[in-house]
Amino acid sequence: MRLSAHRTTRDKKIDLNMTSMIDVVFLLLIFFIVTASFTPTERRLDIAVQSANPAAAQASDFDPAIVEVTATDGGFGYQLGSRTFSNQEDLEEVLIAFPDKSSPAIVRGQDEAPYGMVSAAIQACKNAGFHGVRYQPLTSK
Amino acid sequence: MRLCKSRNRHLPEMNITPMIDVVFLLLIFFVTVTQVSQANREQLQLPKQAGEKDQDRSTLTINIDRPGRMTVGGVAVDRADLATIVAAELEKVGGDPRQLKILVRMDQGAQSRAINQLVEQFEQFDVKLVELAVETPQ
Repeated sequence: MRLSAHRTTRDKKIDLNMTSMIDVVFLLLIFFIVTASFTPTERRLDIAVQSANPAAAQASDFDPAIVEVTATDGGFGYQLGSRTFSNQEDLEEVLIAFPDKSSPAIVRGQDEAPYGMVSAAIQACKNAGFHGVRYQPLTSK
Repeated sequence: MRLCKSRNRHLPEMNITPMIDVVFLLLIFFVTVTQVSQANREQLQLPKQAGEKDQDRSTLTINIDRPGRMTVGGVAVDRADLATIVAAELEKVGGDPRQLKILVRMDQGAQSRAINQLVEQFEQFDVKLVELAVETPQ
């Protein structure tokens, strides 16, 4: 570095070089814009898990909402009681109309069912406002 | 700003050393930080759902890819390894399963068999709460 001794203090004030700082700031700006649009936001769904135990499932007196993700004629579907739904929206609509939401909803997934559908069923139960969602594996009889 | 006066007298000499310093420092910083934060996150197609809560720090992150293979912290594990890991994590939090925050990141196309087996395994450790990772649609 050249610390010029012969310069007067008044001259030094003028010598503020902003170029490098602006360069870095723009570089950072571009970096954050690019990365922000490429990183998807991850969130989470909290569930209670319980192994498939028929005795525990039968123990409650009231009738909980049980959504089973099982194989139907054409692929997989959501089964709620005797009704079968093929998409998340229909399932959610019926779950919203469900009378008793104080007990947790139960989602059961068959081994072969795609996980995407299981998580969709869990999300539907959460959206419907159930007091907790429980997941149980669905063991084939 | 008065910039023109000195320009006539001296040749314009731009000192780019500090800029290069800062740029390299930032480069190293971001490379390190992204590697650390992505260490336990595999590239997976998570289910596109709205989710319930934002993610925070979890004690254990289990990644399950489309064919059902499990990875923890970038290392492929089987069910026996996972039992050891969960037992070790449980030890760390003082043996209380409710203190364990297990995040399961699972590919949306994977078969539910993997999560069903996990649930059976968690039962042995009395783990009753699990967090499932989802991706919010853009």
